[in-house]
Amino acid sequence: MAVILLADDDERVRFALALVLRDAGHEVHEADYGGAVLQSMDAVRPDLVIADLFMPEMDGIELIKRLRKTRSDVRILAISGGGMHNDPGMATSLAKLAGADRVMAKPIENEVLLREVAELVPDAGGQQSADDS
Amino acid sequence: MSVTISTPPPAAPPRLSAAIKDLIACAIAFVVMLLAFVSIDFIEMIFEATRAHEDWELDEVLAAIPSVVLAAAWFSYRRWREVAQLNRTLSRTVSELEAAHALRQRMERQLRESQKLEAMGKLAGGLAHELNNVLQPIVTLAQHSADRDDIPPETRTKMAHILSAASHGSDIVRDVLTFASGGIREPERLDLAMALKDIVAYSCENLAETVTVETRFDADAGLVSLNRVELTQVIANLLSNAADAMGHRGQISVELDVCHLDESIAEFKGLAAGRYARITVADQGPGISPDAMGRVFDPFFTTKDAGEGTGLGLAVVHGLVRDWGGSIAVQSSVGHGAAFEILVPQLESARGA
Repeated sequence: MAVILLADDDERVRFALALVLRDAGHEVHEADYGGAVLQSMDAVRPDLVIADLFMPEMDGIELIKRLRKTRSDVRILAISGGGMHNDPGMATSLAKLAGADRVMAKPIENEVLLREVAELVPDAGGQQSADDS
Repeated sequence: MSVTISTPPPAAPPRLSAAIKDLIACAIAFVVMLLAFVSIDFIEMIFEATRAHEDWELDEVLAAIPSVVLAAAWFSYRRWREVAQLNRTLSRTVSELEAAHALRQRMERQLRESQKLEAMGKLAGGLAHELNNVLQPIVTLAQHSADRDDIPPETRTKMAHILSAASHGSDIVRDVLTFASGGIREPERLDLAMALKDIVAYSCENLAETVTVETRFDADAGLVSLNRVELTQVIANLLSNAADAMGHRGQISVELDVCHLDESIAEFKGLAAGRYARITVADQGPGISPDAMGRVFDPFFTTKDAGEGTGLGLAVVHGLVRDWGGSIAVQSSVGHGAAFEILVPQLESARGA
């Protein structure tokens, strides 16, 4: 089981992803903007932060930069709907430069999401249903 | 984006000095001859001064008349030559102005087209972002529900339909994003014949077994500067379209050769003159109707059934090929298939490499 802090400004996205992650046995905490992630880092102490790249007030890129300064050990999975930079490749590059371990484009299939989480937090275990074949 | 259109400088004004000199010379000759004709005494006075006591005969004066005629003929001939020269210069200037006007019109049309595509790209990019966020919970929750063991078969079927629709929506969004981000990837130096061989083999794996692909590659196609991922995208798109057009049954041919564009043809295609690698993808489908021919590269234009095509495939292909500094054109007649011809500027030939 991994402790995951899930940040996305879209409540429906948070609800759906959190449901799948919790069903797989992970502990999921939610945040609706970047600042909320920073505020709850000490209280939650997540193994993994899943952050949307485009959120109001503080976007995912800035969030990842700040996370890397304060918590270099936390794994970061950036997720993006793309398009806002008119180039999903650019958003991916920026997120990686900022320090994201992985970047995934929405919509992410459940199986793929769980496999990514298992690879990023291998020690956390969890009831992964991923098929690695 | 700014486009500078230069027009040729106006032709130099015709020189008049030659005509004036000729006119003065002829006038002097004419006056001299006229005086000689009407006043023998005057001529005699001149000749006496210069030819020392030689008798002057009227016949000799009359013999000078042909000189006047000849001088006038010579003068007329010179003027006729000048007028002809002016006519040629004028014709050339008119032709150059007409060509410059046509070029300007074509560039303005291309500019409007690219501005239209750029605006649509921005709109598409923003829409894609929003739609992906909408699709995420649909995909996640439908999959989550479908994965449960305790749901009735009817509900499982419904979930499968939701997932299928969401998957198609995702395909549209992916194409939209590709369209919006066309030309971002870095180009690389590719041996086109070798790259195409791999790409066609790879792309064929996604075609039905009832579709065969015949290839004919000129190894001298040489090196080109473009991104391999983009080339794969272009070829896969054309092959997929060709297979769709033939009902996934028949033969597609992919040819690669080299051509040289002279100034006039290159200008017509909006390219620079020079050597180009030419990729032709031809199918045996029903062809493209005249109405559709002018719109096949327009975003969101599709002849496929609803739900089967996004109408962005060829728009993306068009944008990528233009970004390579090349061109794409289609030739088709109803009942005789369609052939897409891509021209890519050649860096150097394989033999010369």
